Amino acid sequence: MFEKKKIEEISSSSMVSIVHLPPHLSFERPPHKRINIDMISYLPDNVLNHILSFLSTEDAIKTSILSTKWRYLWTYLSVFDFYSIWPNRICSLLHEITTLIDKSNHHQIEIKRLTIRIPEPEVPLDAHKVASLVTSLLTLKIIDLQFRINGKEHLKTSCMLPRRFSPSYSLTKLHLHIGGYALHIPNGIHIQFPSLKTLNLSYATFENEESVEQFFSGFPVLEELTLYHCYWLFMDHITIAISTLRMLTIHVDPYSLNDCNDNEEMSLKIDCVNLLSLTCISDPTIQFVIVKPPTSLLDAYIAFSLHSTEQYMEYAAEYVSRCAVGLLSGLASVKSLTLSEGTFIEPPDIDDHFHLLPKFHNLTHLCLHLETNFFTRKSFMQFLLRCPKLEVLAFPLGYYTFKDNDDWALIPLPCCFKSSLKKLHITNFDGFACEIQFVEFFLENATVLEEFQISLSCSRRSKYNSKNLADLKNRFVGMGSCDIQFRSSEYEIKTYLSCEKCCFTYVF
Amino acid sequence: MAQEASSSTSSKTISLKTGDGEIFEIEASAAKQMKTVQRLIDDLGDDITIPLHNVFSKELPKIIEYYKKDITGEITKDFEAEFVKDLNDDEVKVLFLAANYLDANKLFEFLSQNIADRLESKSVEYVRKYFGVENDFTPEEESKLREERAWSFRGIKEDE
Repeated sequence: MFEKKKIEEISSSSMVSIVHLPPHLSFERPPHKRINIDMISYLPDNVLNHILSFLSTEDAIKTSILSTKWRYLWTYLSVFDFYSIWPNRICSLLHEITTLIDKSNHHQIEIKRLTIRIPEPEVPLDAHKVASLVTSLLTLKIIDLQFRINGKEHLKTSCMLPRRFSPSYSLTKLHLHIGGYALHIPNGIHIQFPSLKTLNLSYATFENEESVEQFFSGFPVLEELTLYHCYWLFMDHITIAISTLRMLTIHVDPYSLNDCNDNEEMSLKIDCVNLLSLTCISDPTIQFVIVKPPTSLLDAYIAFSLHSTEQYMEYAAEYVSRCAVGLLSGLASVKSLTLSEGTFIEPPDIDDHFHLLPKFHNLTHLCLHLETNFFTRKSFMQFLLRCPKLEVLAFPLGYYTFKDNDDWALIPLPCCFKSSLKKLHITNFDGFACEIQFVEFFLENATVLEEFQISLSCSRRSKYNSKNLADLKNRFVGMGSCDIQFRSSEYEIKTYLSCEKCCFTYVF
Repeated sequence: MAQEASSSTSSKTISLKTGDGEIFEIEASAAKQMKTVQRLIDDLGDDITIPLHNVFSKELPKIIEYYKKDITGEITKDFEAEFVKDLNDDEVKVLFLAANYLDANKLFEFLSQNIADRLESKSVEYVRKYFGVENDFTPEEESKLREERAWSFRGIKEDE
């Protein structure tokens, strides 16, 4: 008797409590009958919520309609992703969010991660309401906040952040994207984000140079910063000075410059000595100045592209080269460098600028994704002279490659050829005599090469394709320390993406 | 002496008796994963048959199969997919309730995810039926709530 009782006690004290059938059901059920599957809804709330936590926010919210018991169950989740595709229902979405904010402020619920993605509104939203919503979201006790309104022209007036308020201590990750450049960072701003480590700001407008400095001084522990298509209103000199920053991504919308920056000498100063990763996608006419060269930069990705050739014809191509070289000279410690698009717009005049380039003492990985490779053989060799430890090299052959004369061969052989160059990938290979000669040059001189890939170009003038590949292979048999792997053109893009340090994807 | 004792328990099997009187054997290490069972073992010893009032002979073998795989570390995505493939919604629910009762955490988490997957994008009526929930809203209240929530409705799968 005593033993039996004990068993029941133990059984009923298990962590997740046994279902207690409501009285009217328990009489109907003989004890040896199976569990009635309807018993799920009588499980304690925390168990039901556990199931809800695996549902999308959209499905979890639907459970509020199941019955009165379920009405607010979903609000006790800690991760929400509010996403609407209905531009005419934004008000009810915002109302829902305001309810959650209220509950959180009254300590009834605890939200950890909140994502809000609003489609382009049909009717312009009230800028003040958006500003106060953003402010109240920033003061919530949450860890991760993403707030996004798509669209270009939907706020009648700008949505100004208050100059002084106290964002939450718990906020670690923030992504703010208010389309249409409507979010204004005002002058005199004084906001401290005590725990924010990651910030992604899209389409924000900074009022003036002081507002930039004031804003970024409010991030004492920031490690990752992304500025996407931000608007620098009538500014010539912008400074981003954050000593804790490890990763910086700046993506400048070239069209945002045309209106307000007639001055060609716009500069963006980067003062982040602990930077590990830099991504710079911009118009080449902005001068990027590295105030304090980072001491242990792991990787840098630079993509400049000109968007309006007419306007920039007056800027000598040498100015653009000067900007590129200026930026590169602040990145001397980098280990992996990728130059993309139009970082140089014409063969860089090495006599004028290359002597400004530093030695890249740590560079092991160099990737040129240039649409048109503007390096001539001469300038290319001059660049490689500054990369004594280079191990992996990828570059395309291009129009300018063979535009120099034969005195390129007089340039001393870069020491990386014989000591460190292990992997080589040449793309856009057409098969012309000069190209074959160039390949032979590498085969003869890169004596520690372990992997050599050549991707055939897909252009019509190409002399080789998958059909006569064997002929091409035979030309190089017996040369060099390793075999050449040939890839036909379909593989070209894939091999770029599989190069592990070069697969940058931008998701905003 | 202590070493001998532990090596004997690791190969030991425990007898479990379901609510409908059938007896099944499981490895002691699998029993450890079911906290309710382990608690009963701790208090009653591992020699007697452990009674499980709320688990029945239909579902216990499936649970034992899961934990047999778990103790050998062989649970993969493929195994889990295969495990639930032929189960209908009711069978999954029964297993879920049993896993809850047995306090078998890994299985409980896996089945929670599976139930959520089965409910993904289903209609409110379907979910009500699935959980056995009685709708106690008035029609006016319900339509008001639906209206408020309309921003979230994206598309509903055909009810099976």
